[in-house]
Amino acid sequence: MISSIMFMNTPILLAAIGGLLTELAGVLNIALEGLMLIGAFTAVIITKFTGSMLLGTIGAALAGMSLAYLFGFITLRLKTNIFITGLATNLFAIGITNYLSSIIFGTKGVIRFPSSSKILNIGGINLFVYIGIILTIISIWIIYKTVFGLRLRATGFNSSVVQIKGLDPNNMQMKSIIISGALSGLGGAALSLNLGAYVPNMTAGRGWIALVAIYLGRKHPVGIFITSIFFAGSVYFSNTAQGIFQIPADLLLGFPYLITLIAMVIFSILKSRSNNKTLLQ
Amino acid sequence: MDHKINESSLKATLLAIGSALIITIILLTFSSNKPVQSIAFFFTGPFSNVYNFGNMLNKAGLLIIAGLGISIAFRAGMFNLGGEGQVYAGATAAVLISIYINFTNRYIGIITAVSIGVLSGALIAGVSGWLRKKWKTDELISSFLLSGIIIHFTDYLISGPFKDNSSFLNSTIKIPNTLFLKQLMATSNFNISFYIAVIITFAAFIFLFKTPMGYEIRLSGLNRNFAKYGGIPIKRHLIIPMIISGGLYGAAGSFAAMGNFHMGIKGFTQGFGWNGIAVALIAGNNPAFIIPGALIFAYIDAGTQVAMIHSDLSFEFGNLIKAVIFFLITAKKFNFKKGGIS
Repeated sequence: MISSIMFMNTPILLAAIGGLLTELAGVLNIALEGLMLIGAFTAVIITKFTGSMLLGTIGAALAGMSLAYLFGFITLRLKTNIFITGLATNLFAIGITNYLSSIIFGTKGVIRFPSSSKILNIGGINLFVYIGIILTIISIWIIYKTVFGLRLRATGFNSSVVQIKGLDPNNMQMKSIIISGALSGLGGAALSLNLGAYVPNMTAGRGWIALVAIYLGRKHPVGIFITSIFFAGSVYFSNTAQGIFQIPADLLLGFPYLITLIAMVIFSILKSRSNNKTLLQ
Repeated sequence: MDHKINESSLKATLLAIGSALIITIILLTFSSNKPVQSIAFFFTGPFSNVYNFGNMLNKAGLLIIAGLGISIAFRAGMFNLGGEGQVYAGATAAVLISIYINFTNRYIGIITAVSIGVLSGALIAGVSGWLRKKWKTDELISSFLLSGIIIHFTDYLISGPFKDNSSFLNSTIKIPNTLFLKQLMATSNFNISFYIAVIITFAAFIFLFKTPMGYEIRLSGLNRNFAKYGGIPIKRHLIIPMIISGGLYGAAGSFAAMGNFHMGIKGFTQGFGWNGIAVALIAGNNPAFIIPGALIFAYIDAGTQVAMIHSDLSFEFGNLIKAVIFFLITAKKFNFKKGGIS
């Protein structure tokens, strides 16, 4: 059970850590969903043609980075509205994956590859779980112990300070967006490689859950880790409950959104209460 | 946090639409066996016969309604990303009312069904506005999440308790013939909703620019603190714009259900929420430009559909074209070169 929850947690965790880096640089990254989707798709395509999951995984990260670059380029250089461009990135990811899949495979349905997901298991735990945890630890180090991390946080805190230091805040934001693309792409790969197939729209809101996890985790990697475990756990239990209570699949698909919304509302209630307290004191 | 949508410049709009057209042509050239024919179909298709033309106008009418709602929300600085769920719920609510209440009078029936559709959309969006007012829950994310819940719940209603078991589709039974919106242009879907859309456009323009509440909404969107110091009840304008945009999404859904589909089909309103946002942005969130904006969007949409039907094209590239419009529609600067902080 714990290993399943840990595994379900991984795609959300990876995307959320990527989103944290952009968030710290002052970019609300709505594109996480699309970045994950393109990663999931690319991982399956490359694995199917080369037979190598390693290449598939690397490809997924690169695909995520490319789409993230497009997102960053349009937002930062053309000065577009970041929310709308984030939405565009998500729509583009859905469009391009369906388009390519119908050109290459003549279907916009499920794409399978000869599954060998057991290869991914080390000590009964999926390899991506280790990758997720290691990258989370690395992210703590990068954010709090390196010059890059300091500059990143400074950019989000007050971009003119960074400018005075002779650095380009856009450049910092661009870097964070590209890294978030790589991490989200990996998250997508974790999703599809383990399943042994690409299913259209298989990210199913995980990018948005990751976004909420960033706030609920108080913008700290450890907090995000705990929050994403909570989300993964609740989805796991709802899946288990389905078997027992025969809940219709459609309702079940809405469940992650429900849990996320409830968690988000509770978070904002607590936050507004603590704000009121500080006002009274 | 406050989300701001700046009005897009005419240049940005033209750039976005121009790029979408160029990319359409490139995609058609590469993925069609008969590119010239496909491109011709794309440009002339919507005007080739009454059926295509009527459907395009009808689509534009629905987009006008959805786009108006979203532009009022954007003007107020509120982000309603739940359009997908609001349209779907509105449409399905209108269908279910039409099926399960036995209306003796045709007009009362249609008006009741559409009103219920409007209420459903307004209620769903209103929840996000209320959460924002009450606890500062970010409406951008909450409206999207709520929409995710609603979409799956509606899917469940259509394919579960209200499913028509005699049909191959995942759908409800048909609404009574008497409640169909009358086809006004041959066999196309064109119906009264287009005219209603035009009337609502005028109403929205007057509301936004000629009434005190419209002024308050615009001011709240421009600068919430300034509006507050000016004595404007800004908290109210966190909810009202959401209700208006959700209600209009619900209306668009109801009209689509009663005029085009005549039943609830699983996922039948897909993409409509995003398209409404695209139209609002093409129009620079100004009701005065919503009608041309919706016509342009509906034209591109109809063109790709006709081109797809008449050629070997994949059905999917219509979505790519829309994504391209989205990517560029809010561009303010065209600084393609690196460097230069601005």
